Amino acid sequence: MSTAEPPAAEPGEHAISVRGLRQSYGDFEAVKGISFEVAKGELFALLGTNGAGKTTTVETLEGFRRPTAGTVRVLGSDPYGRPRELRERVDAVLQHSGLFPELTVAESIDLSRDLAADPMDRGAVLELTGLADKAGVQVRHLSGGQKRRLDLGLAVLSQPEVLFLDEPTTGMDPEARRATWSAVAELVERGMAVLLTTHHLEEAEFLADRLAIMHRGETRIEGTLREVVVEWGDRIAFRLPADVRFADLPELPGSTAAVEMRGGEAWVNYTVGGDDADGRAYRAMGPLLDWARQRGTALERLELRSASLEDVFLSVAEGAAEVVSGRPDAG
Amino acid sequence: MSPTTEQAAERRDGIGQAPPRSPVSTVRQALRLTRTEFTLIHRYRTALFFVLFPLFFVGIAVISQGESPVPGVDLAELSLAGTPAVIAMMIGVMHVSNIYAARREQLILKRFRASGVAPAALFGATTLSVVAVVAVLTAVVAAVLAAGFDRLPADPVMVAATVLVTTVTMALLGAASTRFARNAESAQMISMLPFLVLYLSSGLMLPLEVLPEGLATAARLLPMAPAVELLRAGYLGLDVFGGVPGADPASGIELWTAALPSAAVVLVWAALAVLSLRYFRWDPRQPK
Repeated sequence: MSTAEPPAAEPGEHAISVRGLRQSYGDFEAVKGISFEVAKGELFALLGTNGAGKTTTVETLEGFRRPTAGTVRVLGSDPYGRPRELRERVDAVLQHSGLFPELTVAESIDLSRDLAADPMDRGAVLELTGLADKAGVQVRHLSGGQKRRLDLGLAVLSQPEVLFLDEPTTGMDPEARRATWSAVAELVERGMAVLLTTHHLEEAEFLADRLAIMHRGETRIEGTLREVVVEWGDRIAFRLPADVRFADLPELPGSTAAVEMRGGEAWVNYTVGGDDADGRAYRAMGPLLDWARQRGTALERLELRSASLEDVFLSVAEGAAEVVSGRPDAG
Repeated sequence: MSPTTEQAAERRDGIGQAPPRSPVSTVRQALRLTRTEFTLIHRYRTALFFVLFPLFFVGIAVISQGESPVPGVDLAELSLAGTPAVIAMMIGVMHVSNIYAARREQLILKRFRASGVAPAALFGATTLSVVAVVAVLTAVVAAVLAAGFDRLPADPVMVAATVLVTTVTMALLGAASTRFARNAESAQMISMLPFLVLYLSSGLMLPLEVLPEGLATAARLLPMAPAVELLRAGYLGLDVFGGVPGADPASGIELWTAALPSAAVVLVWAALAVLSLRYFRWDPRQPK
């Protein structure tokens, strides 16, 4: 949990500001005092396991829930109840499609356009969603992925300043997912502030300027992708040779060793830390290879890889994560 | 790959710095959504059923011709004059509760709210569409009364005002009742209870005069019986507010004065219907 006070910000500097947010349902506390900010022109990804509190957090920011404690601001305003000053400036793609099944794609777009002050052209929305050939098709006949693309199109056609994306690519095929990522990246490039919640780690890796991983209502890790991953360290792994005991393994610079079982086999797993993220794994590898050469030991199925977001996520999900902040200003 | 925070900071002069835009007015949003409501009624078969089913009551009223307790007024005229209230109740309570529960379940309402559509625009659109449908069906009733019984409304303003206020009340109560429904299916079941209570208490199926005094008084405090009285009075030009048997002809100020207690009950229910929307659930996940 990031308990540290967020950096002081001038009012209005952040498109989204969450400070000490708590949300309770009766005795159950779904969100336990989280804090983060999202700047204009930034995409912040909120990751987490099911029930981590992501959707509750987003729904609070969308104005559907009043915080039990703490403060939330969207474009400087309290979003609860969707005040007039936030209409037109904020939009959302919900966790599930919210479309009239009986309307066609074109009718759905036209309806949303007529409800917005300065909407994009219908053609531009159809192009963005890749649904030009489905314009006359009723929504009920679209696939799940096509509905999600239409959801996104309807959410962005009013050109909001803040956009909430709650698992926006669920149900999409890989090609549509990539196209959606590109579209979202372009919107962010144009200055939109986006809060993304997703189960797809690749999505966060592709899109997020910064991210946080939530678990059981708390943010366990927050920072840029690089900060989060670098903090977690690189990995050197190989199958433990039959004639080598754990105690015989060499100490590598900045590393900790562990043995884990994979498919019934013992594997050595070095986690390589240190500030020099670009060179630390390479420097640790030298002594390991020297040791193996001197012993005449073959390092079978040797792996060297940077830590991935998935490693970090899984560790958090398993509850193994320490409370870490990758934020440079949080120390 | 992921852009950096520094890159994000450089983008902040984009959309975020655009001058604030004036939102589309609630009235304009409501009128646009009303258009969509008609498209949906046309395409959503369940809605079409609920909208056309009240014609069944018109048919029943027509075949109930016979002697009424009021000299010179056929029993069918007495029934038909009050039928618009039943039409408003059926469409309001049953159709609106059905579509609102379905739309909440499908997250349509939540998406509109997330997109900045005003609640008044959403409720207003549904109410406008229901008012239009009830107006058309009331016109059918009026045509039957004119063609079959040579009867035109004695006080068209009283008739029109009662149809309008009753329809709005029923539509809003129908929307509010979805607080207790988990989905469209349960909304249909739940709406049967107020439908039966309101129909039985309307004075159309059972004359209030045959009910025990306590029940008759209770019925007059519910929205349907006063609405039916107002419609009968306005259509037939009779002071039916003290009971249908022996009702005397009345018009103008005299009729409106006699109508005040019933009109007050109808207006109180309209106010309650508006207030009940404060407890409307937009989100299926929202705790009850």
